[in-house]
Amino acid sequence: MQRKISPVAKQAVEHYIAQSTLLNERCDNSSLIASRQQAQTLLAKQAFPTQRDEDWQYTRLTGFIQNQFEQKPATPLTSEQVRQYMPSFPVTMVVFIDGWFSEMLSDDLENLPRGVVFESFKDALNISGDSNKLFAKESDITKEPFGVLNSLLLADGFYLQLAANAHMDLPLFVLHIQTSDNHLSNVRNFVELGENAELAIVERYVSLETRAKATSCTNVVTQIDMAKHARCKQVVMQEQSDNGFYFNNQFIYQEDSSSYSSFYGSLGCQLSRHQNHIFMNGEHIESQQNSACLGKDKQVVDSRTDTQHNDVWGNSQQLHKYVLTDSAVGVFNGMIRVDQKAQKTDGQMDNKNLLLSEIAKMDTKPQLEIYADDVKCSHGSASGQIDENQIFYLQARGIRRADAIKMITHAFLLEPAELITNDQIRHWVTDRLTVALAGIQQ
Amino acid sequence: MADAQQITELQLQGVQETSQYQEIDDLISKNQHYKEGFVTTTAVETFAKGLNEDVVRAISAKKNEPEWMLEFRLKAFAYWQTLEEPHWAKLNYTPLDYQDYSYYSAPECGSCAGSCDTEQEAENEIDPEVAKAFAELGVPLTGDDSNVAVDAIFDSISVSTTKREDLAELGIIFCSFSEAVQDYPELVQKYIGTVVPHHDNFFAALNSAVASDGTFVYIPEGVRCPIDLSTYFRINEAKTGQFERTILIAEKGSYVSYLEGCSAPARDTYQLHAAVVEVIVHEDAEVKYSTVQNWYPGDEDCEGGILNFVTKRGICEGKNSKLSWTQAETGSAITWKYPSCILKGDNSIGEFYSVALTNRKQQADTGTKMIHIGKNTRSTIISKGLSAGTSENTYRGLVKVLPSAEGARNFTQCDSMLIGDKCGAHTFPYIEAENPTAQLEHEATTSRIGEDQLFYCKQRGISEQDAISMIVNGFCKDVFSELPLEFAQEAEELLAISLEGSVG
Repeated sequence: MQRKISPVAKQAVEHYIAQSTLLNERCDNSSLIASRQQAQTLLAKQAFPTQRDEDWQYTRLTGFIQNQFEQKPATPLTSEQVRQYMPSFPVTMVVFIDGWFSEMLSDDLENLPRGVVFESFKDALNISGDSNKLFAKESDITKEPFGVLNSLLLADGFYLQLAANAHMDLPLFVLHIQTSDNHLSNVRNFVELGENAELAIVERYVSLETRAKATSCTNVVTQIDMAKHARCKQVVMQEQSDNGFYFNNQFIYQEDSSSYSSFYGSLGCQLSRHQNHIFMNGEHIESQQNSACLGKDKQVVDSRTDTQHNDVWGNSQQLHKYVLTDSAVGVFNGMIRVDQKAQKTDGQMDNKNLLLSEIAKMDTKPQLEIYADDVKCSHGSASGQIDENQIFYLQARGIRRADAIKMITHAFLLEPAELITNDQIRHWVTDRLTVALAGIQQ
Repeated sequence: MADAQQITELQLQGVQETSQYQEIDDLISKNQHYKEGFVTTTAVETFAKGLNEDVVRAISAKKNEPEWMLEFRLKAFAYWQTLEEPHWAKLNYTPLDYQDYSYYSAPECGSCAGSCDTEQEAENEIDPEVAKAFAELGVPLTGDDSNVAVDAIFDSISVSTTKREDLAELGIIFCSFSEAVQDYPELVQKYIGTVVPHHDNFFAALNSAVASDGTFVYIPEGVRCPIDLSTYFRINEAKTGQFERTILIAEKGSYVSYLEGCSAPARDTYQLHAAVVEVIVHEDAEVKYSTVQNWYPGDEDCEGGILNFVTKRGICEGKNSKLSWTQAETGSAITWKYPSCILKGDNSIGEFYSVALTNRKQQADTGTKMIHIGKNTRSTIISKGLSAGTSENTYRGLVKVLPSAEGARNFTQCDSMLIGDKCGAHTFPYIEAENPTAQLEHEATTSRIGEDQLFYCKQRGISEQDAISMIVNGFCKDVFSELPLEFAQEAEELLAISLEGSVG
């Protein structure tokens, strides 16, 4: 069936394809060129999704399509400018400016613990023999419209490899800074965890303070391959400018007995969409996905999970919480799919939403698709406002109404963050959320 | 005493007559699960296969319809031609060839439905073969003692409507849709297409164009309908579509309980059923709409079953009105059905209780929509899905709270049970909240019959089949308790039959 493409969308499609062609002209890596060309064909054919597409009916892309973002070179920053975004606890720091890896601002990545290799994606491509591996899951990635865009403009990102039994002493802290208006940061990351390897990674997306009103776009694709018994703990904090756009697609492939847990905190951007695609391709796999999303003004906050149980004894747990005020729109979509083979699966998904204003809106769609009979699967979803009884309870104890509401909202939103096991990271995340909450409750 | 003797004789006669249906017995022996799968052979008038504007006009002419009804049909048909068959549901079927169906079929002596002298004794009009078919199905067409009024629909037309004189005394109109078009045109014109407009969806448009027959119910202000009203749908001819159109109107302060049953003969090609039901509930009125759907599900591979594409929707127009949908879905090769409530009046209540069972290769994509518009509107959704064999059972529902729906409340519970490891159970709820005072809750679980539960029953001398039946009935109890008594029993039995052969 031929899709009808609006003139504006057509312009945007042509704009991005032209940029991709330009990139290809300056490139000499054949697999990269091939992957970009494939994405060009796909984008030309399917363009950008509209509200008529089932997965995009609540997330309008009109704003994104009207802005034709450009992939510009990075603005030079000093380490002074970057320091303010660093956490107070010791980390191994990696800095990306406008989607480009900055070797100068990052920590020394040559002397990482034994078995740990960190390269920029650009460099990883040049290591012979490796580049096919980097494109092995291209067919999964290009199922997502923004995965297609990511492949189309693929230029930088990072490649991280942990050999069997390797682990990093300090959490890896990846800072992404947007510095200019109308810019598109396009990042592709590849993480490979060997057998029994362990990784703690924190990603933070911010806009440079002087550019607090910038309209720019970040489009990330991260692939994490986990071998047997590998463990990965991930935190993603999205705090970009309120006019920005943010798209992130994470593809996680798990093998036997591996364990993946992630937390996503969404605070900035006029339109943000964070998607996890988890493939639990082995026995006794655990996965945990939690998120805390705060929406204000006219923000559209979208968070999605797709958890595929493909083998026996899998366990997946999810808790997603939204606080929405002003005319913000929250969108949650969670899918748990249990294959016929995946007996003894335990899949739990919980989505709770607090609507603080008259015009805030929440669209949620928790889904179950089950083909195995001996499973425990459930999902729950609840939306509403703060229970008057709870406010009364606190007021009866001498707490002012305004404070009572703050306390309850705070406790509500922070619950998913409480599940982060590393104390320092947890405190850092809860601080970020608390500051953001205080901002909306003035 | 003499009466009793007469009845026994009649029954005997009935038995003899049914034994004549050799092919029925063949079919039944071929298909143990579906005892309603016999064919009635009688003189019928069936339109040639195919669908075009002339067919639409011919249907309308056949029914002696007034000009406005023909216009309604033609408008819908023109719109339908611009549409594509929807395939978004989790159902797997090859696109249908709409030219390969006949769009009108009726037993000959009853074909003049509307124009016939309705004063005549209803029983005299019925084709004896048709009457026999209904007797076989256990539908009382003459039973004056039964506590239910029946409208029996055979292929494209309504063959009999019982007890309507008694009901007319109360001002209740209970007749076939075709008669209503003749006798109460102003009422039909006022309400048709108001809840399900002709441009609503593909199948609603098709139905509006070629609507065969259906039931028309009107309950006047303040009347509490003393007996249950019921419609029984029977598809008989091969390769025909049944497109019933039912309108139910409950005026201020009235109450009615309406039941719906259906079945079809066992055939080897798919048959189409695309119905539209519109329910209008005014202030303080209450409507209870129950369905036991037992269309022919097809053979072991679900070949030849009924394709059931139904649009059912009700609107709670006035304050404090209540609409309750209860359904037990056991038949059909494919079910595509979402009985919905538009809760427009303040304090109105919408309910949806459903048991959907799929076995063998059946596919069901069913659920509900609750649209909250008025203040303090409440809705409850209880859905129990059972899948066995290699079937697919999907719950798909929408709960939408508009900004005006201050204090809206919804509770949704979707439980699925898997029997066997080759079937699928899916839940796709859509929840859209646009008002902060709304409280929405949704929960869904999936489970199976535990080995320990089975063991417990077997240990006490209960056969595995009975044990499963017991456990399943317990699982569905919340819904069955909402069905009228006889219906609940029928549904339980149906469930047991449909489950046969799913284990072991």
